[in-house]
Amino acid sequence: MNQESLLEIEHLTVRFEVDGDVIRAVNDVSLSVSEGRTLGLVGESGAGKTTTALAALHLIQQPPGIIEEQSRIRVCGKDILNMNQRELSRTRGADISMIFQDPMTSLNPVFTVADQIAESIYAHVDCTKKEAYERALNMLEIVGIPRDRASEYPHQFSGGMKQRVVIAIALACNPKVLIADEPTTALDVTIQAQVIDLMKTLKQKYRTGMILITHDLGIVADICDDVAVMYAGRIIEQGTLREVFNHTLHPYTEGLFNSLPDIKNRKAKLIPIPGLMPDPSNLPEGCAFAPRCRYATEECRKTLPVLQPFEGTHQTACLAYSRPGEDFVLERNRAK
Amino acid sequence: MIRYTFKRILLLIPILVGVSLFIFLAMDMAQGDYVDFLVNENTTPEQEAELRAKYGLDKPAIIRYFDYMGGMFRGDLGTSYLSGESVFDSFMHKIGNTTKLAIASTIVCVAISLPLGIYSAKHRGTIRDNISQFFAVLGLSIPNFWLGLMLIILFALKLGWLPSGGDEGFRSIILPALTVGTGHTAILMRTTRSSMLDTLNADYLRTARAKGLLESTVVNKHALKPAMIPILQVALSQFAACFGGASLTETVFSWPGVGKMIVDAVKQRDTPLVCGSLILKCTIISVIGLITDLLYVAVDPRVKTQYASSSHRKKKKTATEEEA
Ligand SMILES: Nc1ncnc2c1ncn2[C@@H]1O[C@H](COP(=O)(O)OP(=O)(O)OP(=O)(O)O)[C@@H](O)[C@H]1O
Ligand SMILES: [Mg+2]
Repeated sequence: MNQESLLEIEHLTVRFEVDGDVIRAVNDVSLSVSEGRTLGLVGESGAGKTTTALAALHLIQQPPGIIEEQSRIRVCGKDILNMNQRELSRTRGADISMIFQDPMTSLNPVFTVADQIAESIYAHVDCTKKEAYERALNMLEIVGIPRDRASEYPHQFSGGMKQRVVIAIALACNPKVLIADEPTTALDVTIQAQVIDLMKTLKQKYRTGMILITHDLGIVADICDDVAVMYAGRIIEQGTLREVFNHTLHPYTEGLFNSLPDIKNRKAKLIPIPGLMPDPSNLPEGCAFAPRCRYATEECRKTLPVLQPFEGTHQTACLAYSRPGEDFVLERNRAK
Repeated sequence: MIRYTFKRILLLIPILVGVSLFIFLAMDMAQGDYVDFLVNENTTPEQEAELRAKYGLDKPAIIRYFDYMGGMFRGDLGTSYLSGESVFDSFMHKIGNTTKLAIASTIVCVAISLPLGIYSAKHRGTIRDNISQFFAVLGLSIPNFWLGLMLIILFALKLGWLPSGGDEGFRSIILPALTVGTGHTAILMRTTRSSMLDTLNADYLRTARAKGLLESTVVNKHALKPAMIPILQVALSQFAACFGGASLTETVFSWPGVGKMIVDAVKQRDTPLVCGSLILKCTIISVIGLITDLLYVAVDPRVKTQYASSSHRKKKKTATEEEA
């Protein structure tokens, strides 16, 4: 085990069983986050990002969720999937915490915002309720909400302000690992920049290990050290920011970049990826991306590619690189 | 809000008029009147007629009704034939006991339904859920008087732990409260269960768990409080129902409350006492209903701020004006 690894996920496999359907949301995902490093987790809607994040806090509802046996998750060295109630409550919020994707429904409507923050502090820090409340007010100020709005209820706040309260709750106890699930989607550009700055500060000052889930590759380039790309519940490419962005290996990752506007070359045409991600309740036999992949061969539709090391820490799950006698290069890299 | 309260109180008047008319006609249709209870074989027909005239029973019911209503609008609810005491005073002597029983029954009902409903919601769809629901419905299905008699036989006659009736302090209230309270558990338990089911699936429970709160705090604080509004409303309406429906239980346990008084008064054809007491009872029940509605405003911050917002905004406005 890596000594400074704060969060280690190995072979995480999660399925949901709903009305006889089996939804394979996360399939054999392994990743790790160490001190002071930020991992960007990208991939289109339904790829299993949120499910992976929830599993890291052991927050998947069971039923309908089922975490399969081979899955291992260690938070600060401790196996979170086999913790009892007390250990769980000591770990969540203090060692690992999460900023939830949907701010509109993530706050309890019948408690004031400051109370909801103070509660977390009171649960983990040895202090009086009053001190916890004082600290909650400070947290509100840190995320840019004036103190005199502390005793208001969530419905009196705008979406962006709610998102900031959710952020304040997650940061209240200075967690060692922070998972941020699209923390900036509900925010306007200025506030977005503030939140990104806040996350950078956490990283430098407290050496917080972070997972940042986002659709915005610009933000990934801005603060992430490592990147993992998810598709249909699997990680299909993983590596450092430089490796994934500059030496893209997987055709899906290439497709993601092609469907983004290029600031340097405004005339370049956007090429969206054709088709849709397969339904996770009905995954194809071979590579899940094969039906949409322009490089796919007959073999791709039959054999499931596994994640394989390429160069350095760079890994990808694509059969094109293991075809004998062929030196496969993505179009994106050929141009260079 | 004040206007709403006022409107609700005005609405009470036609209800009370209707109730009293109904009672007068019903009492008139019943066999015999109060004087029939006074006469014996020695009374002469003249004496009987004299008695009828004394109580006004020689007049037709509809005339007596208008006389009575005339008094009521002057604040006079009439005089009991039997005791000669004013109906209002008689009522006030007994209402304390009925209130005590209503409170005790509601406590019993809440103490059973709330934990059972929460438990049931937490284990929804399982055998534990079904068993809890079975017990709650059992309380509704067993007739009150039968349960009351069974409790008397078991705890008063066989075991001798508790008195079988009357008012001998706290120990006397236990059996009647159990009888009335268990009869109401089904509805409150099902309300608790269904509103907890809503909040137990809410996203904010995930936030609460992610903070590192214990599961008991998550359920009993974060899920229960938002679920509390419908629960409180039903609990209060059942509290109100305890005033309306406890006559049978009060009679079985000879509990000296309003319910028993009215049953006795009906038996003796003491029309003013029956009518006046029912009018007062209706008023109490309606007032509790009104409080239930207003409670919404007090408990739910979303509604509360709606009512408070106008004054709040005014305050803010003057503050900014001062700054400028
Ligand atoms: N509680 C649940 N019950 C049933 N299916 C679920 C549940 N939660 C997630 N899923 C399914 O698992 C798959 C992955 O969902 P997940 O929320 O992890 O996606 P995501 O990558 O976070 O997407 P987005 O970018 O839209 O947030 C989806 O197909 C979703 O329908
Ligand atoms: Mg998501």
